[in-house]
Amino acid sequence: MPKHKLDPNKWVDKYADYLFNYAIVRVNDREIANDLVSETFLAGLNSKDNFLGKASERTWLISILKRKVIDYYRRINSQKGKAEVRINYSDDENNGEWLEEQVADDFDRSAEDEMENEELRLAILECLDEINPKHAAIFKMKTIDGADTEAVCNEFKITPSNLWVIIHRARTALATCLEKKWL
Amino acid sequence: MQKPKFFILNCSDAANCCDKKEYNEASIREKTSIIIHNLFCKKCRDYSAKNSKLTQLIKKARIKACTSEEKRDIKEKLKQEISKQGSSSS
Repeated sequence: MPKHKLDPNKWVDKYADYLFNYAIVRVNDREIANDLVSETFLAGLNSKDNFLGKASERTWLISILKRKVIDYYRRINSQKGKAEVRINYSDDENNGEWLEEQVADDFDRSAEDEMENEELRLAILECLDEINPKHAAIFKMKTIDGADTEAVCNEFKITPSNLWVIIHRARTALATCLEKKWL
Repeated sequence: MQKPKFFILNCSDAANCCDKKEYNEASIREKTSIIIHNLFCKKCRDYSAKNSKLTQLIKKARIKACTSEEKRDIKEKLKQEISKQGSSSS
């Protein structure tokens, strides 16, 4: 089995999106997710001597991030009483409204849907990892950030026809990869 | 790409139009040309179906990317840490 090596200089470009997506579904806040990701990278850097090379870089970083998320939950839950449902309407007029406030959001999605979506999300990001990094960056900017053609062309200094060729290759590669991983 | 004559495309142009369509950047002429091309070409028909399915999956996944500024911040922090370690170990 080939030994995996760590290359911290490339971490952000390669794994930031993946880790960020993992974190954001768990903490539901952009800023906190970002903090957790950067903490993960720093922790990874500090303990990179402990990396045995048995798992891939990404797996290793994810396992650190998992710890960070758990720590985060411990931290916020140690402030006692936050998770309790409080009924603090003292006057008769407002009495009963608290029940309405506790009703769940009527989002049309179940926990299973969310879980499936997360797996799909990570599968897509994994596949993007496997294709040419430049193509992946262009594809991400165009498809996920929804930038218009002109902006992408300026950013990467390519012509529009060039862009469409790259997009085509990325899409074909991604479709093949997702067929293997997802369908 | 040349302008299609009488809405006739070859396969690579059809694929190109099909990609554009997924980003809502195809003209009406191009869209019509794909429909006509797909009538005769099974390969491109399959590609169109696959392509729109991919778009749907990506939409469904609702991927949230870090913005480039956020990435730059993280990179900056990481770089500082790396240089700190480098100087302490040497």
